[in-house]
Amino acid sequence: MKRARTAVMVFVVMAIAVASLGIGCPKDPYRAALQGSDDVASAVHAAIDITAAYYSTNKLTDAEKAMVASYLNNVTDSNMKFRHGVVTAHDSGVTGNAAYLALAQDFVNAVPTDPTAFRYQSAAAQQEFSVVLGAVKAALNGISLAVQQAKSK
Amino acid sequence: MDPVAIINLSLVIADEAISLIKSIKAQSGMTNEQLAAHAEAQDLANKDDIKKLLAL
Repeated sequence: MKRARTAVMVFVVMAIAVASLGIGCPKDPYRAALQGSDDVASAVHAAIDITAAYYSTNKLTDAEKAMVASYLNNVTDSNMKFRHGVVTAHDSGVTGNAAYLALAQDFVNAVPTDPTAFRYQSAAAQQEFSVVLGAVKAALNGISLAVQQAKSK
Repeated sequence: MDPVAIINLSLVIADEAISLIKSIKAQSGMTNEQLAAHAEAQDLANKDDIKKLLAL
């Protein structure tokens, strides 16, 4: 049931994210970048909780936990660097999408690992983490699209 | 899928959708500064939680 819940959660996140691109408030690229960064942080938070839950019930090995934690740590570090770069650019008076798009691309390049390629001993963990870490990856990759669609002030 | 499971799944979908909409609405009510601070706080909490996770 929890697996279904997670899958549903990811589906709804992606559906709302896609819908918000079309019908959401017209965001400037700075705002779009900040929201994307916040979404990444939220997705990582959810992934950490699920990782802890799975490990505590022996559905993850020590090595698998370390693998997931390492990925999430890299995403978090890169997210912080991205957001600080975005704020610096904005405070310097940068407008237009190009600079924020470049920062978003740097973020993507800083996390080359595809977490959906991770392999787990437990079939339940394989299914769950494919979804949960897929949501983190989607949030990260979604920033570029959101910035592209934003309207410069 | 039996009817009870369908109903349960529908409730799960509705519950998650409501949570996500609340989160999006919370984001939309924030200024840029508040949004940046919110993301920063979450990232710092995540860093801390990852350390705890590795120590388990």
